[in-house]
Amino acid sequence: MAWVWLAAALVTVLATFRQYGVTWDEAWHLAYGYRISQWYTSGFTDTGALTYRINYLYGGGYDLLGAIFRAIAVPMEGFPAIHLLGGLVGVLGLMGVWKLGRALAGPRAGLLALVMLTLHPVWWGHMFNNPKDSPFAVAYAWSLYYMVVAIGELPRPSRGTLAKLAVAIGLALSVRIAGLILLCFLALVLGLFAAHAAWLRRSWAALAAHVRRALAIGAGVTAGAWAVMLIGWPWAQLDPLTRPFIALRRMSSFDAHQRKMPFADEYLWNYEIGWDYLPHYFGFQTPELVLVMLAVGTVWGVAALLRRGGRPEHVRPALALLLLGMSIFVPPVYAVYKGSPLYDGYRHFLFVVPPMVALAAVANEALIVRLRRRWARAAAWALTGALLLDLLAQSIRLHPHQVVYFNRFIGGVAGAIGHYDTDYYGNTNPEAMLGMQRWLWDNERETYLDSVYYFTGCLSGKAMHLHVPSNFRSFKTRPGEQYSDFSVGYLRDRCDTRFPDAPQIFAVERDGGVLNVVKDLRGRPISHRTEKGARKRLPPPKPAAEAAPTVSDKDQEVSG
Amino acid sequence: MMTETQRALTVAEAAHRAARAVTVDPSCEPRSAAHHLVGAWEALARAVCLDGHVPEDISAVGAWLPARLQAAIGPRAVAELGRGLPALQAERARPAWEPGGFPLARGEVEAHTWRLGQLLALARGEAAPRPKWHKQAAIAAAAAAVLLIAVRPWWTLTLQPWRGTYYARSDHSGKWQIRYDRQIDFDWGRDAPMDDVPADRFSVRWDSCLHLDAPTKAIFQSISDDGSRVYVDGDLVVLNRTRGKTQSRGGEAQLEAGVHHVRVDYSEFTGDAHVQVLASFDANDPPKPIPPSMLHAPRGPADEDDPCE
Repeated sequence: MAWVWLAAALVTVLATFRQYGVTWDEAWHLAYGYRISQWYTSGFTDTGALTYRINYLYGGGYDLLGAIFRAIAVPMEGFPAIHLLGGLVGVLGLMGVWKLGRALAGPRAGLLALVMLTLHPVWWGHMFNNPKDSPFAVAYAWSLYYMVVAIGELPRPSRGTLAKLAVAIGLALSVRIAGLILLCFLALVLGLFAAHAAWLRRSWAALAAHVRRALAIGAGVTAGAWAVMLIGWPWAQLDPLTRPFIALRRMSSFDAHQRKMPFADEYLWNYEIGWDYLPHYFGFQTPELVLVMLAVGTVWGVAALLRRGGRPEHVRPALALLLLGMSIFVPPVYAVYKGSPLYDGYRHFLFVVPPMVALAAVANEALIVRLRRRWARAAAWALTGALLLDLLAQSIRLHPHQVVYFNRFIGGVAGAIGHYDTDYYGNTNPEAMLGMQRWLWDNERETYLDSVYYFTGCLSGKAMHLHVPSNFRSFKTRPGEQYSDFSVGYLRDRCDTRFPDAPQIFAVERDGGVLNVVKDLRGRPISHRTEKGARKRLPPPKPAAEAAPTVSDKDQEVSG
Repeated sequence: MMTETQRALTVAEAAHRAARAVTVDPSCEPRSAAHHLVGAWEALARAVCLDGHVPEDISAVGAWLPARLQAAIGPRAVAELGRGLPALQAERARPAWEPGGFPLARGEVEAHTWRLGQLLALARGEAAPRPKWHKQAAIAAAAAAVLLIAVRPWWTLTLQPWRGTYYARSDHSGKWQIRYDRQIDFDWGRDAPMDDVPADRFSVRWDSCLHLDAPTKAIFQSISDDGSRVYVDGDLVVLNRTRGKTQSRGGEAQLEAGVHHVRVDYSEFTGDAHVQVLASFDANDPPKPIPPSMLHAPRGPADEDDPCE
């Protein structure tokens, strides 16, 4: 059954991967992957990957894989190829959560976890065009699975399991050095097991023997993971013991993107946000079923750990449960504790979604099988199925902008607009551009064929060429004075409010919420249609905001 | 109702679990697993030897283990198990108060325990005798098939529909090279389109054969920098004259059902170079790239008048 579901997911990926837009980070990751491949093909003489933007501080494992995949996928263009790869890797993540659910609570829980994650709109939406958070989350899910398997085999996990665990953690590290947290989890699990075994025997000799074993396992897995991580990270290869930690230190205080954003009823800088940023986003962007079952699972898990965790026969399930809980709650709590600047919803914490879903599925299945009456169990399964079907319907309605999903606790997408970030990644821009093209064809057909249209907006002109013909061009390529005919604006940085006096000709809408608007600037004076003119005429900020938001540095860099 | 064989296997599995718990525990001496391991062997012998014909000495594993199980785990594993069992029996027979050496290392006892576990699973019928590589090969083949279907590398192996003749001069004359392209959608910027063709002052002539199933009013659009022209069956449909800036021009042609020769001439003088040719075969839709399935490449020489005949 799970294989059939996975096959259906794969077919959906193959059918839809071209429909997802190019996001901000992708062009740079494509270039970084190319530079890493050049590092190898030039015999380590092409050092472009060692200094490339800020990317050199990230492992480029996925980017290198992308470069290889693009070479195989020729003549498919770079962005579609990388979207296809993202979709395939995302399906691998689905498989990982299925295995994790199975390892925790059997095949039924595994299947439920698989279905829940597939229908999790935020996860599905990120699979295709998020070259960092999504592959990291996939490697994180597989690492957790192999860690659960290794816990089941303690005190002597098989070499095969440890090798797979090392590869999975290494792949996570090769996307983000924050994967070190997995090694911390492993150390904690091994340490707790050794302490428990020694406590049972009341023997220092037993403690020493178990600690030696734990150290050997930990050192072996760490060494293997480190080696895998270095393959895709040329900068770290030059000083493998120091540079990854330098990167970790720099990434922990990452403040390159300072931006204002809506949050609840305010408009805040991302370094001003409080502890409640992530709880808000997880609370409103997690499907209701997953959220409720996660709460049930957390309470049940804590109670189970307190009641039975110390018993010898329960030590392995307890460790697995503890690992799952830590993998969900420790990273966000640590980010709050460190006061890390946060933005783009919980995109950077996408990796906690698979364990979250796994815990929710385990709790859901456990609750249902505990029902005594057969009809009650049937009714509970039917209710679960109905909620999942509803989620599928929402996902289809949002397609291909599943990342903007908000649950009914806030009133869906329409309820979130103005209060939270929706399309922070520019996924709606292609649909807006195609809408503009369709509008022009329908309304100005007699001049369409002989016209070149210049647009501005918070988007990459080059990326848009994938979706619309080349008579739609960035205003930067206009001969003479650089002014625009149309403005395409999504909601991030209040890009949609630019050119307030221009008529709107098209809007990208989902579930009653406007995500992107196209404005016709051609009737305005030319001085209003330049970037300088646009900045001058920005509408006044909302009362709650201290200052008018501006297009962030990052967006300006590629705008148009 | 449990049969005698199942009962014996259950005993063997319990003894094996106990042996495994001891062997994997770093604080236990491996020799302390001997008792459980020999117990598991004895129970296994009772389970697999028919009608209670259990040999007195089970140390010669190859003599009493059914051929089916021996074949499933392989002769090497049988030999290794046979080598380890006498040492385990000797350890169990040794009185606890008598000192004595134990010839097996921890790794050997672990390997012995693991193989015995395999054997028990096979005897129970839980482990498939077929090696796992079949399943893995099937998964790998399925993954490769998906990848192939997704990536479609035969696109590069088959002939692309547009025959491009690339000239090293801007007037479609002089030295030329042929390359087959999937679409006319190029943004060369200030680069040369291919080796031996300069970045400035070059030209390209693309030919293809367009298939139409029914009479159609076709709309063609050419967007280029510098100039371009689109001909259908020798008639000029789009004339896009420009130098140094991007310009879009369109044109219509009423075409009968059948095969039509489409020719695109593009010339680059200086500066940036790009060209895109689109078409619409339904008046409700704006022009889009022409689907390669509607086109095929001409097979004859480059200078034919009608290469689609």
